Amino acid sequence: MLLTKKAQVFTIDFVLASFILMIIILTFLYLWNFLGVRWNNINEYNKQYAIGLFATESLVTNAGNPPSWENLETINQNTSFGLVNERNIINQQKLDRLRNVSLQNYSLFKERLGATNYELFINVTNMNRNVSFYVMGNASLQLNETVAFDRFIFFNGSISILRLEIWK
Amino acid sequence: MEMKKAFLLTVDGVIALSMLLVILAIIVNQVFQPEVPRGAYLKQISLDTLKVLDYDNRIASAINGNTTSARSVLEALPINICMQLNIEHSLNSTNITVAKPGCGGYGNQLQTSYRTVTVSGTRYIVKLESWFRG
Repeated sequence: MLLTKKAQVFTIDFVLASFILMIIILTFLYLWNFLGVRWNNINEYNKQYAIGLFATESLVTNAGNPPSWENLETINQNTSFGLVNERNIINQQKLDRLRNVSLQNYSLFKERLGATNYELFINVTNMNRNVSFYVMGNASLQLNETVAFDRFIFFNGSISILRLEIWK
Repeated sequence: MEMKKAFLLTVDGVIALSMLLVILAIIVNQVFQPEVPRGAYLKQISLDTLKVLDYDNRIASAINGNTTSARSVLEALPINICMQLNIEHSLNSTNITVAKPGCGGYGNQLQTSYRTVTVSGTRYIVKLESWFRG
């Protein structure tokens, strides 16, 4: 009689302990998964941010490769884009050519700016952002998934803004 | 009596294990927190600002007493970025400060950039402090 009761208590105790342990493990797994998703999102955002950062830097501080790439017959895999001959001072011919490339071969335009797996949108506006001089690429309607970089440039005799938006 | 002891032991174990796992999760979250490298962008836009201000003679205008044109450039910065321009001359008392309106105190990731400009044969040191609005 005594032995049976002890065994019953042991079973209840074991079931209870297992149940509690299971809850703890599941909570921990949920927490771990939550952190993992969060880290992935931050890493993805960082990657997107870095690509946009380097693309804008390349455009407003470099002439490109070759330096007169805007005069090339065809844009190939060795061409890199830059819009200036002097830091921040935009060469309009380069800007015209870049817009043409974005219209004729959007994939190449993205690829040469390092954003193969993303969408790009470039908007050149006046300083007050109410007049747009150049628009190229693919604009996003989902603002929360877009990373934008505004850079001051000197274009057409006045200070303007080159805005690059990168999104997925 | 033994049942009570076992129960206390279980509660004790549950609390200890829960605390251990939560603390572990917090530590892991803190240690492996990936940071967004926003400082590089701040540096780039600071250098852009110095360049266009100088190129468009807005620093020269500020030295000659008209700070409005330089301020209008600072006002065109993205809303989360603050800047303060300081123009100094080492030999005379020139000390001009132009700040973006609505930016009180320093916020996050303060950066300082310098540029020398020559106006009417006199060389000035331009200091640009930039930071993210807190």
